[in-house]
Amino acid sequence: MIDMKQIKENVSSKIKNYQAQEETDFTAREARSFSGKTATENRTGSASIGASIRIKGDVTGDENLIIQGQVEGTIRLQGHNVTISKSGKVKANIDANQIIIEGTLEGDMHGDEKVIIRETGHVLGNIVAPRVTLEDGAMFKGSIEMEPRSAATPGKKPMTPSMTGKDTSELKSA
Amino acid sequence: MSLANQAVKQEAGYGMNSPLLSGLLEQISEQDYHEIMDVVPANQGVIDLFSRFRCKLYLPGCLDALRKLDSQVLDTPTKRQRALVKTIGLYKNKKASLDVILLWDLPNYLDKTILSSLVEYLLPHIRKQTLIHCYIHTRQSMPAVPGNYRYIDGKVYVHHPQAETITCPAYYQEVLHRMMAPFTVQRSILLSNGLQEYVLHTR
Repeated sequence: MIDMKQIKENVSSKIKNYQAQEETDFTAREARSFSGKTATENRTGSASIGASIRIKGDVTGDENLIIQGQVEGTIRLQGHNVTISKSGKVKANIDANQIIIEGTLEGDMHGDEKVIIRETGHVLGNIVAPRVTLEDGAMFKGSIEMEPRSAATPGKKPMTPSMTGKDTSELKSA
Repeated sequence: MSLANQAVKQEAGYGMNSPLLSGLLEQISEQDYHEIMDVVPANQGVIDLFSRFRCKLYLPGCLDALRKLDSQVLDTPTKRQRALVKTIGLYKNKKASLDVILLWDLPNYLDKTILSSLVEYLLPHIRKQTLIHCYIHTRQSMPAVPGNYRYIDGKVYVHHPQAETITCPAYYQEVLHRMMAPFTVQRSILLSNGLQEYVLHTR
């Protein structure tokens, strides 16, 4: 005789075990896919764009963001941090508090606090940020402005007064 | 091994005084805004060096790409300018107005036509007071590839990634004037390691 109650309990127990295993696997995968600090940030509530996700358009929000996939457009997370992890590929201008690049970025960055390009980072674009860190091995092509022109004293001043007029007497004779 | 080769080998990884570069950096006012271009691959040393100034730092990272430009292939001014736009780009900033251009020892590794084209390419981005700083090798041979230069605490640290040497073009001042017109030599000093240090300006 079939005991339906027993069957239901067995099935329910197996489903719970399966779900628990799935959660464990997901956490392990997530931990493996990030490096140290970033993984901690992710567990404490950062939003994440997964490696297989492609987004075209504007990304805005009120929390930190970790990008493992591909984004094309603009990213505006003022007051929050954006991390492009190793697998991340971004073609966008980014406006955020702190920007960390471990993957690839083609676009301009405006960091209110700082911009960090890790050794695996590959950046083509311009940076405006008060602090910029470029780790050994990182690739960067573009411009860096730590204090934008508008914040500096207006106008440009010739920088030659004491250089101009010097002779070339120290020249090596040909 | 020839004396010249020995000299070059001794140069691998060392610090040197660079009085003209030090003087040039002292001239950069910390109050005023400047635009500076450095052709070496971007590194933290360059960023730290200029972080005390109010400036926009252009790091086109174009050293290797410029060296590969061949005037035999790029046989017209238009082709050369297109190649330079692609190589340097100035990153969509057509308003770039450079005060200082740091070429380090790059001119030694460019053929004369490409060097002239490079200056021509930069002309819309220069001002009356724009200064170019560079080193010219004056010995018979020079390292096969441009050195990695870092300016730290008043000294320039040079590292040559390869020990191999090649024949040095040994550009003299007149040749430099021709290749880099309208820039002319403002100051020049022969350093003890055989590098001629130049600061060029437009008259």
